Amino acid sequence: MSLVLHIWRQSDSTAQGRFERHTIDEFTPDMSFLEMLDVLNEGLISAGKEPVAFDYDCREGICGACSLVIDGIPHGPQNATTTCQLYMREFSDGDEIWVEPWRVGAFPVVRDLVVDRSAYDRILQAGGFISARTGSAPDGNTFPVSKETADRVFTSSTCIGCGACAAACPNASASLFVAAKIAHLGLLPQGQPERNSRVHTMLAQMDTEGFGFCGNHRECEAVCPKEINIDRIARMNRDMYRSLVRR
Amino acid sequence: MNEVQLFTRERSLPAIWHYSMMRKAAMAVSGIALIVFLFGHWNGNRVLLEGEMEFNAYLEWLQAHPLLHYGIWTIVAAALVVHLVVGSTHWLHNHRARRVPYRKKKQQATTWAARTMIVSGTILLLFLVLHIAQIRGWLVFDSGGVYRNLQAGFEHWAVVAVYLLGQITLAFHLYHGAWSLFQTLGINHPRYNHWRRPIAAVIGVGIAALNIALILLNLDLVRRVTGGAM
Ligand code: FES
Repeated sequence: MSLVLHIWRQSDSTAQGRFERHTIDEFTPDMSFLEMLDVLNEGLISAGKEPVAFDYDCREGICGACSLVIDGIPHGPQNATTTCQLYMREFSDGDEIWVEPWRVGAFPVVRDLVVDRSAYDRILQAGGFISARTGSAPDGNTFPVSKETADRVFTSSTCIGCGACAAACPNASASLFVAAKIAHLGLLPQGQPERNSRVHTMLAQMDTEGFGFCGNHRECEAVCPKEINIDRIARMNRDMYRSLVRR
Repeated sequence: MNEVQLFTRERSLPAIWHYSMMRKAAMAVSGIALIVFLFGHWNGNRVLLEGEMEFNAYLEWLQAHPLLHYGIWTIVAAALVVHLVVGSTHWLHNHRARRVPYRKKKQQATTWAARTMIVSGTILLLFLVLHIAQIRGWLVFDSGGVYRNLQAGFEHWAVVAVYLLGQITLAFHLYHGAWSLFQTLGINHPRYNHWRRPIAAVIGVGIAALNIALILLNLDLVRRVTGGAM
């Protein structure tokens, strides 16, 4: 099996980037996309060249560190899958693949395929938390939370903050990320005291970071590795209207 | 400034305008106002088919009800201004928010209508300018009043083509706009969500089809084909 890769290379955030062409054949279909890049990098290093910089941590789809727009789709062609969990068997012999970093103004490129996603951290710092002391894990059913609500909270909390939503959005908007966090915290009893201020501070920070504005294109939910639904965005908007009339 | 003061300041009217999501809400509300107006506008314009006397009587009736007449115009003009300002500034901002474009990008879910809102919006604006110019008599085909100026305009195929193009563009614009406003206004329920797309399609295609029918009937094309049955 052999592939042609066009990989984005950029030496630092201010440098002019360009695509570099590589042909690679020493990988197996059971390798993940990142393992294939590891093989590429080993080859580059032994040839005395700079390896390609890319982000990863857990490599099991839970940390949100990996990124990459693979052939035009954030996290590649397989649904509900992070780049680290994407396997080379998804590609066929002779494929030409374009590999690009997240292209979002608020996520500047650090090097090659690595982008700085601290904009998402700052949005969380602006209100994506509960300041009440909750102590250790409460006994089951201490707080009455319905099964449906618990499920919605859980599916919202699966957001790993990878940034694929903003990367996929034609407007480079962070709405799905912010909405998932707001739903996750605002649906639980512990999240109520800050519910109204949270939506304001987080939305204000989202705008401050320079993300684009939601156009309801639905690209975000299509690429989200955790399949978070855009109904969270509608819910976030309702929370915003609610906060205008309530303290 | 303590938290409560900060929060109060954030809820003041000028600050609300600073939130992109609130501007989107203004976009949605103004869009609804314009959609409602378009249905009323169609209903009024049916009088065009009845002849010059009836049409002029309709205009006189409007003039005789200034509260209704100017009330509607104020709302429509305000809605248009909001729609134009938010639409264009957001488009400009979104255009820059990506900074470096993708070399290769595959769209997964968005529609052609959604991607071309700025184009359809601009075409609609140009159409509106022509339409108002004809109504106000800045564009003269026949100087014998609004009715004659309209009808004389329709004798030119180019004018007819512009009107038809305007309506088709409107259908595309509303196909995305009417769906988008549900999301923006938070109108969402798992049980009814699958109705939002068809409703948007019916609104978009509906208004356009009603107007096109009016144009064709007015041209007498349909009546000639159906032998006067319509
Ligand atoms: S490396 Fe952790 S999610 Fe991919």
